[in-house]
Amino acid sequence: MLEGKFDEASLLKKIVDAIKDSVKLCNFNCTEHGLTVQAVDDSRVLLVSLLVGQSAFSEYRCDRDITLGIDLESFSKILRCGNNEDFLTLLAEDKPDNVMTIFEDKKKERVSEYSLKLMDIDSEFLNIDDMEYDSVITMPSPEFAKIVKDLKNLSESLNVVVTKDSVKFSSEGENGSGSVILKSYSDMDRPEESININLENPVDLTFGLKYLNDIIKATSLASSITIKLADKTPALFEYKLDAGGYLRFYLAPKFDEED
Amino acid sequence: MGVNSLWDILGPTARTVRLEALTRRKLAVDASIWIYQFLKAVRDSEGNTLHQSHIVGFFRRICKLLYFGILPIFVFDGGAPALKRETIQKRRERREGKRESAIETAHRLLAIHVQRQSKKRTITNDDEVTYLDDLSMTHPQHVAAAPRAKRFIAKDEYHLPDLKKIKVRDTDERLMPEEEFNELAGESFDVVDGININEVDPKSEEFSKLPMPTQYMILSHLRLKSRLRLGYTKEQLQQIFDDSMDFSKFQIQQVQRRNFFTQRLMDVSGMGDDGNATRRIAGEKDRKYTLMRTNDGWALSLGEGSENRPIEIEDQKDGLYDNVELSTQIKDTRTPPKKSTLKVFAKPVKKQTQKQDLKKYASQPVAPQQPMKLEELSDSDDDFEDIPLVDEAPHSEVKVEMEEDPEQQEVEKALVASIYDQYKDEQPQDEGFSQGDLQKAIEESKKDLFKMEDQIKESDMQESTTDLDFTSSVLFGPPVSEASAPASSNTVEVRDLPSKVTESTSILGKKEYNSPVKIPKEFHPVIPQVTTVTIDELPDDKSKETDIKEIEAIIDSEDEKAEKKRKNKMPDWFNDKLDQQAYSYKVADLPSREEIAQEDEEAGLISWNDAKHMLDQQEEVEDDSEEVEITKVTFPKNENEVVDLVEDTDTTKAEADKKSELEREPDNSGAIEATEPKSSIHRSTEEESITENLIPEEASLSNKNKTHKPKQDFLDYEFIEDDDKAINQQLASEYQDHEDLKNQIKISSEIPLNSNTSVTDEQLLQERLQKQKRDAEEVTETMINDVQELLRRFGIPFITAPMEAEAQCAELLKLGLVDGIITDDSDCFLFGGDRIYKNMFNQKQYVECYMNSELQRNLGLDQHKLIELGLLLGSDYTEGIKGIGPVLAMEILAEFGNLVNFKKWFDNAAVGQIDSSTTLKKNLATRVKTGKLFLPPSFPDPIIFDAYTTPEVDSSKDPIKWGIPDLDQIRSFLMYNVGWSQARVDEVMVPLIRDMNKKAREGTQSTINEFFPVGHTQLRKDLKIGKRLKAAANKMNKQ
Repeated sequence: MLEGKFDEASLLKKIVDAIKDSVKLCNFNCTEHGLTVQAVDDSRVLLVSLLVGQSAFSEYRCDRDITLGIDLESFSKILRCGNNEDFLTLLAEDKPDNVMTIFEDKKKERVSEYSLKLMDIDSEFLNIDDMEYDSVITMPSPEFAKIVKDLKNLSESLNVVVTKDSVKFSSEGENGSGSVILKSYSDMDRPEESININLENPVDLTFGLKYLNDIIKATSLASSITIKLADKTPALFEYKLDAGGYLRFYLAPKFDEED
Repeated sequence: MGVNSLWDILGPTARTVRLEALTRRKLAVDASIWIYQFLKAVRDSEGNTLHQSHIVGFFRRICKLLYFGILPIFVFDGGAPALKRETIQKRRERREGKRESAIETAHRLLAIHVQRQSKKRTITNDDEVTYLDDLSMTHPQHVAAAPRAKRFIAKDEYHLPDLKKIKVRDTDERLMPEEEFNELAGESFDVVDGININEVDPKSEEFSKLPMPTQYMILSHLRLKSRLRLGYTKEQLQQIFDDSMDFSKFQIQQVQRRNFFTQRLMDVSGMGDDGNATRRIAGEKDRKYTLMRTNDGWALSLGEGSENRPIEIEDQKDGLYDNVELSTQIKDTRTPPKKSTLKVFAKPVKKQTQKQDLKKYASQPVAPQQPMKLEELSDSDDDFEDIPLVDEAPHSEVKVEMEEDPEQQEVEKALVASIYDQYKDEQPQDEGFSQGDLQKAIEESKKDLFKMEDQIKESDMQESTTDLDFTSSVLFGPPVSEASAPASSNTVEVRDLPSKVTESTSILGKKEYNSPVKIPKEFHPVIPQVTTVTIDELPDDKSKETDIKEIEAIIDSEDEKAEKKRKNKMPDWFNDKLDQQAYSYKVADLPSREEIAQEDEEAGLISWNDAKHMLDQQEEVEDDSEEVEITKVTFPKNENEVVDLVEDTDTTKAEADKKSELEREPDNSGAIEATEPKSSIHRSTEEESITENLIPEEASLSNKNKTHKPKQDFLDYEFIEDDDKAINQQLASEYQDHEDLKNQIKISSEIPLNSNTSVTDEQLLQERLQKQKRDAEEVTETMINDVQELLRRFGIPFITAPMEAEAQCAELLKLGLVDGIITDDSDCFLFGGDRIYKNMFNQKQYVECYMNSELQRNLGLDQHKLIELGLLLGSDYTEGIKGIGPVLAMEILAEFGNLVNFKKWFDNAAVGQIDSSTTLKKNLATRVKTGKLFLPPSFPDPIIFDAYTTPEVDSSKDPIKWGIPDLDQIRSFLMYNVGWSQARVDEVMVPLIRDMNKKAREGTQSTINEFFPVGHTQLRKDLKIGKRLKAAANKMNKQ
C-alpha cells in the first residue's frame, strides 16, 4: 500500500515535466525511503535518476516495495488537472493495476481523483557506483540553461573544457561557432548565483545538445545545478530538490571515432 | 530456415530496442540468407526478378546499418554441412514429390552409362558384325522395312519408320579411323590447309602465291568470319564497346572488310578484274548465255559471237545514273557485279525470277507504281524475251503467237499486256521522233536482242523524243526494246519491221490521225542520234517505207489477233495512234495531255482544249478497240506552255494499259521519280535535234531546254540520294542479317547441339544436370562476389564461415568480438547465440532483441533444451517429429525433462507398457496407438546435438577493423553493376557520408550502457505467452 502526500502538487508536476521528454515510460519504485526512478531514454544515451525522499512528502507510507509502471505522458496530463498549490496524494495497492491521484484544494472543499492505468514495463537497473569525477562545477541552473539554449542554435554538440578556474562551453557548427566561458565567482549575498569550479584534472568532453536540452527542462526544480565531469565517462547533471531528494541525469559523451 | 515455429515460442520474450541504441555496437550480420531473400522478394511491378537485386538489397541494408552507427561484420555461409544438405534434400523430396535432384540425376546418368557400357561390351564381343556393304540383301532399310511393313502405320505424313542402327566394327578399314575423324572434326574453322587464316594477309605476295583453291578457301572463310560477331554475346560486346557508336563503327569496318574479301574472292574465282573475260552461265540448243566482262562491269550475252554485243545488265538506278552522266553516250553499262550476276541468273530462269528483277527494276524508278502493273510489266518482258528466242520472223504476229505458246495461264494476260507495253513503249518513242527512235531501237536490237534494259536506256539517251518518251522508255523501255529486238532478228529490215510496228502502235495509241509524211520527218532527226549510238542506220527512205508497210501489216495482223482477244485493242490502237501521231505532228500544237477516261490526275495541268482533243481522240480509239481500256497519258510538265505543247505531242502516247497508268504516276509525281529527270536529261540532249527537225517552234524548244536543265541537276542529286539510300538499305539489311546471325548463334550456343537427330533420355538428363548446376552456381558464385566487393568498398569487414554463418556468428559473440547478432534464423540460438536482433530491416524504429537470459528466465529454455526443441519441431539438421507443434513440444520437454526420457516412454508405449499417468501422456499415448506419433529409432540423434554444440567455426580472435566507405568506388560499382545514375547513388550515399563525417568531427554518441553495468533487470511480470506454454515454461524452470 502506497500513500504519499505532497504539500504542493507543483513539485511532482515539475518532476514529471522534467523527465517526460527524455523517457516516455518508466517505473516508479516506491520504497519506505521514498520514491525512486531510474530510466534510460530510447537511444540509451541519457539516464534519468530520480529520488524523491520521504521528506519531500508531507505524509508518506509504503509498507512494501511497489513498482508503478507509468506512462509519463498520460501522467502529466492528469497532473495538469490539479492546481499547483493543491495537496496531491498518490495511492496504490500492493500489486496495483492503477494508481490514484487525488487533488485537494486547500481552501475549498474540492477533491478530485484520477486513476491511471499502470504499464508493464521492462527496465534494467544499472549499477551506478559513486564515481570519482575529475571536475565538479556548480552554477546557477538558469545560467546553464541559457548556455545550452544559445549554443544549441549553432550545432548539435557542446564541448565542455574545464581548466584551472574556468569552464568553457563551446559549440562549432557549419554556420558558425560560439563559446561561453565561465569563471569561478562567488556571490555572498545570493549564494545560489555563485559559480564554483572544482578541478582535479582538466576535462575535455563533448555532449549532444539534444540531450542537454532535455536536461535543462528540470531547471525549475532547483536554483543551481551541479555538473560532474570525468574523462570518457558520462557526465552527471544534478538538480537537488529543496524538499529532499534529487534529479540526476547521466549523459554519455560523444567520442571521436578513434576512441 | 532455422527451427520450425521456434520464433513463435520465443516471440514474447523479445525486447524492443531502438535502432539508435545500437550505435557503436559491433554486430555480426548473418548474410547467408540475404541473397536468397532478395532474389525471392525483390521484384519489379510485373513480378520479374530485378537484375542485380542482391546488390541493391545489400546496398540498402548496409546504408541502414551505417546510418545508425552500427559496426557490422558480415558473415557468409561457407558450405552446408552434410546433415543440413540431407535434411533439405529429404524435405524437398517430400515437397516436390519425385522430382530428382542433381545428384540423383547424375546417378541415373551414371547408371545409364554403365548399362550402355555393358551392352557395348557384349556387342563388340559379337564376331558376327558385318560390313555395311555386305548387307546388300539385308540392308538396314530392307531389314527394317520388311518386318515393319506390317506394323508400321504412319501417324502423320512426317512420321517415318525407324531405321535399324548399323553396327560397325572398329577395325573396319573402310571406315575412317577414329583419330583421323576427330582430327578432321576438330579442325578449326580458322585453319585452311594448315594456314591460320587470321594470320594471313590477303594483300601480301605470299598469299598470291598460294594455290588458287587455298586462296579461295581462305578468302571465303575470312569473308564468312567477317560476318560473325567474333563469337561474342551481346553482353560481351557491350562490355567491349562502351559506346554504341564504337560498335557501329566496328560493324561498318566489318562491312568494309567483307567487301574487301568479296572483291578478292571474285578475283580469285575469275570474276575480278584480272579474271577471265567470259563465263558461261547457261545454255540451250543453239544458244548460250554467257556472262562477260565489259569495260564497266558485267554483261550477259547470248549466242555465239555475242561477245561483241553483250546484253548489258543494269540496275535501273545505275542505268539512270549512267544516263545522267553519260547523256551523250549511247552505251553505258555499269552494273555492279552483284546485280549483274543476279540478273544473269534470273534471265535463264525466265519468268518468275525475271519478274522479280523486273519488279525491282520498275519499282526503283517508279516508286508509286502498283505491284499489279509491275507484274504485268515483268510478264511482258518475259514475253519479249521469249519472242526473240522463239521466232525470228519479222511479223509481230508470229512473235505474239510464239509468246503465247511457251507460257501458262498468266502468260496470256502477260502477253496481252506485253504487247500493249511494247506498243506503248514504242509509241512514246514514235511520238517524239517515232521513226528515229524505232530505228534506233531496231539497230540496238540488232546489236543485242537481249539488251532490253540497256536498249531502253540507250534509246532514252538517244531519243530526241520528249519527256514522255523518256519516261515511257524508262518505264516501258525495256519491253519496247526487247520487242523490237526480237522482231528485228537478223536482218535490218526485219528489225525495222518490228520497230515500225512498235512505232505504229505507239502512234496509234497516241492519236487517231496518222500521217506517214510526218513520220519521215521525225525520222530524219532521229537518225543522226542513232548513228552516234553506233547503230547501223537504215536508209531513211527505206526505213520509212518499210516501216510504214510493216506497220500496216502489223496492224492488220494485230487486228486479227485482237479478234482472238489477246490484242483486240492493239490493232485498233495502232491505227488510231498512227493517225494521232500524224495529226499531232501536223498540228504540232496538239497538246496532248489527255487523261485517260479511267483516271487522270494531271487534268489540271493540261489545257482544257488539249484535254478535250485528246479525249475525243481517245474516245475514237476506244470505239475502235472494243476491249481495250483507254489510257491516255499526258505528261503534265509544269513548264511553259510551249514546253507543254511539245511534250504533249511527244507524250501523247496515252496507253490504255495499266502500264501507262504507271507511267503517269511517276510523271505526275515528277520530281520524286527518276523517270522524269531522265526524260528531262534526254530531252535536253535531244532537244537540239528536235528543234532542228521536228519541232517548228524553236522558241518552245529552247524553253524546253531551259526548263529541263534544272531538272538535270535535280536528277543528279536524286540519284546520289538514291545511292545513299541503297547503301543505307544495304547496311540495314546487313545489320538485320547480323542480328539474325546473332540470334542463330545464340540459339545454337544455348542448345547443345548433338549430331544425333533423336533426342535420347540421356541427352535430356544431361541438359537437366547442366541447368541444375547453373542454377546452383548462380547464387553462390557471382552474387556473393558482387556483394563482397560492395562490402569491401564500404570498408565493412566480412568473413566466410567454414560452414554455417549462424554458427560463426554465435562463435564471434562467444569470442567477444561482437556485441550481438543480426539474423532472422532461429538456428542461431541452437548454436549458442545470444543478443540476437531480429527484424532489423523491417522499416521500424524498433528491433526485436532476444537474449538467452530472457529465454531461460521466461521459457526455461537453455541451449540444450533449444536443441531438443529443434529435434521435435524440425530444423535444418533434422526433419523433426511429424505431428508435434511448438506448444506440444514445450509440454513434452516440460513433462519428460528431456528427449531421452521421452524416447524411453515411447518405446515402452510401443511395446504396450503405456504410462499414462498424466493427461499429456494419455494424450500422447492415444497418438502412439493411432500411429500418429512415431519416433525414429535413432531419436534423439546425438549427432545433431554435436552439430549444434560443436559446429565447424573459425575461432580466430583477431580483432575486427572497420574502414571508411569509399564514395567514388561505391559510385562506380553501383553505376556499373546496377546501372544507377550517379545522382541515384549520391542520393543515399552523400547524406550518409556527410553524417559519418560529422560523427567523426563531433564524435560519436556513446551510450550509457557502455559505462554502467546492468545491476538487475526489472522484468515484465506478464509475457504474452499462451497458457499451456506458460505452464510448460514454469514447469521447466522448476526443474
